[in-house]
Parts: sequence; C-alpha cells; structure tokens
Amino acid sequence: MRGADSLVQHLRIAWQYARIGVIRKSQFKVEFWSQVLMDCCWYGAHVAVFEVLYSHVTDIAGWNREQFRVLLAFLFVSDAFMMIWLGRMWRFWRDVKDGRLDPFRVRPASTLFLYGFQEFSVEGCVNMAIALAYLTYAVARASVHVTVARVAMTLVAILLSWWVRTLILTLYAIVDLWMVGSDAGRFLQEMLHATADRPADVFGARLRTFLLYVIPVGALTQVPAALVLGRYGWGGGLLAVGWLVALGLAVFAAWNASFRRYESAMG
Amino acid sequence: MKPSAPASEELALLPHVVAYEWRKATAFRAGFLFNELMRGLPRPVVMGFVYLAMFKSSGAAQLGGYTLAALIQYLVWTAAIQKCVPDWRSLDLSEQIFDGYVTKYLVMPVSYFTLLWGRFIQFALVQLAAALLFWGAGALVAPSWWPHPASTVAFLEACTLLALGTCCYWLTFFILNCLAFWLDVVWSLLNMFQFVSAFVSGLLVPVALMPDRLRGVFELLFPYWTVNATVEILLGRLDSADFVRGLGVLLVSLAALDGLAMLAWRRGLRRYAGVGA
Repeated sequence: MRGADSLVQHLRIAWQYARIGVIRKSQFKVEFWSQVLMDCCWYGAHVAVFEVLYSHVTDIAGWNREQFRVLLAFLFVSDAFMMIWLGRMWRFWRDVKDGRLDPFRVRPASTLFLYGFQEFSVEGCVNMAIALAYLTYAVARASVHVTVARVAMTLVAILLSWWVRTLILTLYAIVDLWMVGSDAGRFLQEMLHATADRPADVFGARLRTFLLYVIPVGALTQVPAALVLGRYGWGGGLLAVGWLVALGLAVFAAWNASFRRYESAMG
Repeated sequence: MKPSAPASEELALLPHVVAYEWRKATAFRAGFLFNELMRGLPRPVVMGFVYLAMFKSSGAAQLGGYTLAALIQYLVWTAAIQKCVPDWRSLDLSEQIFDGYVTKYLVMPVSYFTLLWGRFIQFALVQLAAALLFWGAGALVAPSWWPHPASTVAFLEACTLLALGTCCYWLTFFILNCLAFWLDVVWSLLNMFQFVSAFVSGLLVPVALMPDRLRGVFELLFPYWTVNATVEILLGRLDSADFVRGLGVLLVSLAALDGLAMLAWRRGLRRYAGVGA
C-alpha cells in the first residue's frame, strides 16, 4: 500500500472509531460528565500542588511560576490527547494477559494503531478544550512575545507532546509484551505521572538527559514548554524534535517486533 | 430468603477468605513485586528532587516550618504510609455489578461483608509487610538520616490513626463501587476521589505548606488524619491532643461511612437484576 493510501485508510478507521466512540458514550451520560469532572480534579490537583510550592519560592530549577504553568499545560494537553484516543492503552497489560488482541492482528491497518486508537472519547475532547484554554492562559502569562513564528512553534510543541505521549505508552506496552502479567507497564505509568509534571531540570545532568531523550517522560512536558518559551535555540530545538521523532519511529518498530511474541492465551 | 450464618461462623470464615485473597494477589510474582512492593515509590523520590531544587534556588533554611531534612523524612513516611492506604484498584465490585456477577454473593450462606473485610485484612497485612520492608531496608541502608518514630507513644498513636483511616478509605471505595448499581460505570468517580484525597491527605505536598484556611478545612476530613497527621505525629510535629482530635474525626467518619456502606449495598441490591449493564 502506498504511503498516501495507507494514510487515508488509517484516517478512515480513525473516523469510524470516533463515530463508535460517540455512540458508546451516549449510553453512559453520567460517566461522560463524571470523566470531564475527573480530569478537572486532576488538573486542579496539579495546579494546586505547584501553586502551593510557588507560594514559598519564586524559582524551581530555573523555572519561575509563569513558565511552570506552560509546562503543566503541556501535561494537560498531552493527557487530553491520551484520553481522546489512547484510553485503551491503559488496559494493554490486561488485554495481553487475557489474550484479547486477536482481532487486531487481522491487519487492515497497523496493529498498534488499530488497538491503541480504538476507544475514541468524547469527554476527552471537552478536556482538550480546557487544557488548550489553560495553555493559552499560561503562554499569555509567561509574557512570551506573540509572533506568527511563536504561534507556529506552539502548534509544533502541541503535536510534539501528543507524539511523545504515544511514544511513551508504546514503550511501556513493549514492557508488558515481554513481562506478561507483571503489571510493569502500570508501574511505569506511575513513574510517568510522578516525573512528567515537573521540569526534568530538577534532576542531575545525566538523569535529566536520560529522562528527556531516552525514556523520555521529561520530554512530554519540558521539551514542548522549552520550545514555546524560547529556551531552545533553533538548532537545539530542531535537534531535540528530530531526535524525539526518530526515537518514536524506532519505538513503534520495536513494538511491532515485540508483538510477534503475543500468543492468544498468554496469562 | 437466603439463610444467614451466625456471626461466629462468618468470623471463622474470615481466615479462609484472607488466604484465598493472598493466593490471588501473589499469583503473578512480578505483578506482586510491582503492585505491592514498588507501588507509591516514584512520587516521593521525584518530590525529593523538587524540594532539593526549591531549597537550592531560594537559599532558605525552612519552608513552611520544614527544613529540607524534615521534608525528606516526611516523604519517606508518606511513601511507607501510602502503601497501607487502599486505592481504586483494591476492590473490583463495580466491575462485578456491571457484568452481573454479584449474584454469586447473594446465594452465599454468609454476608458479602465477610468477603469485603476478609479482603481488607489480606490487603492490610500485605501492605503493612511491604511498608515495614521498605522502612526497614531504608533504616539499614541509611540509619543516620532515615526517620524513626518520635517516641513509642507517637508510634502507637500513628498506628491507631492509620488503622482507622485505612478502614475509612476502604469503606469509601466500597460505597463508590456500590454506585455502579445506579450509574453502571464508576471508574471516573473512583479516580476523582483518588485525586482529591491525595491532595487533602498531604500525599502530594505537606498540608503544613498550604494556606491556613485550606488546612482548617482539611482537618475536618479523614484523609488528612490518615496520612498527613499520622506522618506529623511520627515526626513529632503533632502531639497527643492532636491525636485525640484526629481520633474523634476518624471515629465519626468511620461510623458514618459504615452506615452509608450498608445503605448503599442494600438499596443497590434492590435495583440489581443480575444481568449486568
């Protein structure tokens, strides 16, 4: 299949997933609002923690309160992306254990895409709107000089945070494929949440590099925020983005290779 | 009407329930390692780095009455205590209601609450062992700065608050699970409680660092007395008068939650049709 045809095929499948997602959510209306509220609580808890911390200091590892809000906003934006499209990846460990991945091996499209993107969430779209509003507020408060280039850079940064979120979830899913029934992926998710909502600059140089460019949980928020805030030069920014894109492609290839280990009854 | 067993018989069944739940928890050894032993460790480790960066950048000796060493000790105790606090994964009742699997409990000759508390005992025993293992390992590796209870009395007071607090958490998760009788899916409600209680309890940041008004409100709620106050008693920052106040809040909460749990279960069963959603 040619590249363009493949893209159209994947977009058609995504559209069908979105349609089914809307129908499914119409069955659970309370759950819809409850999920919106849940994410608002999650956003609120994160904002509150760091507003409390910044009420005692003006700077944490070179990030002031306004810059920190931009970093948090990228956490929310990437989380909303996960809520919209990648919700099923939360249960990957369980589905591997129970051998529920057979239908996704039929391959009318990429197995990873078919599995990962199967649960479109309408409430995630509401949360994305909230997250984008917070990002706009945070960028405005960070006194970033608004130019066309800066707006374009913000859009690139948003795409990058989505890309890195997909990359990280795929990386963790690989662990689940190799360690069936270990719940290691879930533990790594906990690590992700512990690490992604604060700048990787709080760590020493080696650990920071590891978290930004190898695992890369820090890149989920710090790299996009640094791009928007102009903390990277053009060369450095291009290099960071290029590396994360290449790393993503390598991780997706590694997932495909690891998926060969999957058997219908693994648990 | 289902025959009910006498209380002594239900009590005799508890150890069996605990044993079965233990076997289930340890069925996957790697899963046991990640779920029970390593759970809750990444957050305090990362927060340690954040506090270090805060002290470095501000140059202050204290933040909210805490020195850096005291904050690190706070993190160590919260990591140990968090292991003992139930979370949204501790019960799967809502899924069973959704799938219509509750029927089996209704034909058992014992109350469902025997299973519920049996599970709680198994959970508490495993988590207590994990917490002791964590604390003991740290005390062996870094005896000079690893925190020790301020006194024997403080340790006993902390244990009392923690035991009552975990019961409150357990009943809250049970009640939220029971809401599946009406709402079908309660996953987000469980998570919502988790996020809010993590903040209120001081798991994310010590309540002492928060504004006074917020602290005043949180002191009326059981999560605060389960984690934050327990840790501060262990650190010697709260005294026996605070303990008595916490005991009062927890006992009232426990009585209210217990009543609510019975009510939710009974009312829920009236709606239950046994076919799932």
